[in-house]
Amino acid sequence: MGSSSSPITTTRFRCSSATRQLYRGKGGKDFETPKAEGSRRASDDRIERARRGDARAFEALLAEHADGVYAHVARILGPGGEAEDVVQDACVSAWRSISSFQGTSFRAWLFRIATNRAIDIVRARRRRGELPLEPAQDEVVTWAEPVAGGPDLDDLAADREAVRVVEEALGGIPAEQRAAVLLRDVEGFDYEEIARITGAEVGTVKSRIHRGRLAARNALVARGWRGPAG
Amino acid sequence: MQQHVRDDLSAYLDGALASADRALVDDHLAACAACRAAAAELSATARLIAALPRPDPSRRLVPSLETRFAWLRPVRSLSAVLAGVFVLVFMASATLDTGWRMGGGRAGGSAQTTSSREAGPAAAPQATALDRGAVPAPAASPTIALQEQGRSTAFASPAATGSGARAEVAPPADAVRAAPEPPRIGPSPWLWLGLAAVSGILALVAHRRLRAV
Repeated sequence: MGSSSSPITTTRFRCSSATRQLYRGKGGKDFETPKAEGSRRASDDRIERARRGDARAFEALLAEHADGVYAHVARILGPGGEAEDVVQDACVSAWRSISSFQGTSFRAWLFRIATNRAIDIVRARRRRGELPLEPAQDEVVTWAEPVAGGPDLDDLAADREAVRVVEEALGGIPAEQRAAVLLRDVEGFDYEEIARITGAEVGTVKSRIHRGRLAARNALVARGWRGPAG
Repeated sequence: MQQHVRDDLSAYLDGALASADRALVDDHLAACAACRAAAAELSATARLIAALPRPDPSRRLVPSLETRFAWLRPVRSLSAVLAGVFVLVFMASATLDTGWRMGGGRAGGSAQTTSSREAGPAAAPQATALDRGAVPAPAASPTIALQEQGRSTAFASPAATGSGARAEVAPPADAVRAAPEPPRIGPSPWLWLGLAAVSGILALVAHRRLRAV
């Protein structure tokens, strides 16, 4: 990486470090503490028991993840009864097919079932005209130029208005992009896991995440915020 | 100057680039202030997205899978096993019954043979002849045949004392065929088939109910 005295190197290091710090531990990829390992073993044991038809073990598994899945679905569909129904349907569907579950991550599997259902509902809403048609997936997204004088994006994390703008921006992008961005930035899945969850190629996932973030960034910039000094 | 790398920045920030691509982006960022700024903006945006509020459900989302219909699992297993057992019993019973019916003449003959044996050794040739149908004697009606059969049995004992009565006591073959069937051993095979059907339906209903949970 070279010397950290150079401003260029400092900026580069800051980006990578910040992002790694943001995601470290979410996916459990960088390291696994003894506590996390014990939790994983307990989860594996529950999965095995659930495969053999132990409903109590399966309920315990669901209890670990159901609220997280709901939060994800609610960010796609909006909070409320429909998102709750989707999660419950996903739970029942998972129970019915638990014997055929072959993957290693029950959480990713549950997210896959729920995400696909949520995306189907968004598409149905758009077909019925309840939502505006979403932009084409391959539509070129340009970089909006920041307006000088606005607050720094780095200072916005606690800004409710900024959060609302981000939510709005994510609401306006295609459901597949939104799901990919949320799975990465909120849930901490890596690209390969997101590809399995959404049934897309890794390259497609990269593109969706980038476009989704860019849409949110452009929406913020349009409100007068500017990016961190480069 | 290299081409801008903005399209790769998200993957770069997420550590999802191959090492060669990552090195290219590193080199470009070292020389391009605009792309560094873009990377910083994307990173800040990602942090904002990560900070989105977490909505909480208004109700319990985990369905109760264990408590409501747990008792149906053993019912389903037992019913399925019973259905299989009943089918096997039905098949065995039906086979025996069919054999019994097809061998109805022999069964009558056996009965006759038994009574002949009880009558005495001299009656045995008579029974043998009866089996072979060697002594055909037309009967006007089953009733008469039965009467004649009864008479023949009655005469069987005297016949044991002398061979001259042999032709007189021989009953007609039709009388043997029309003899009342001996009692069936065990219930009808159809009973087992009915039980198999009931068990199968019960297993199916329990299975569907469990799947609907």
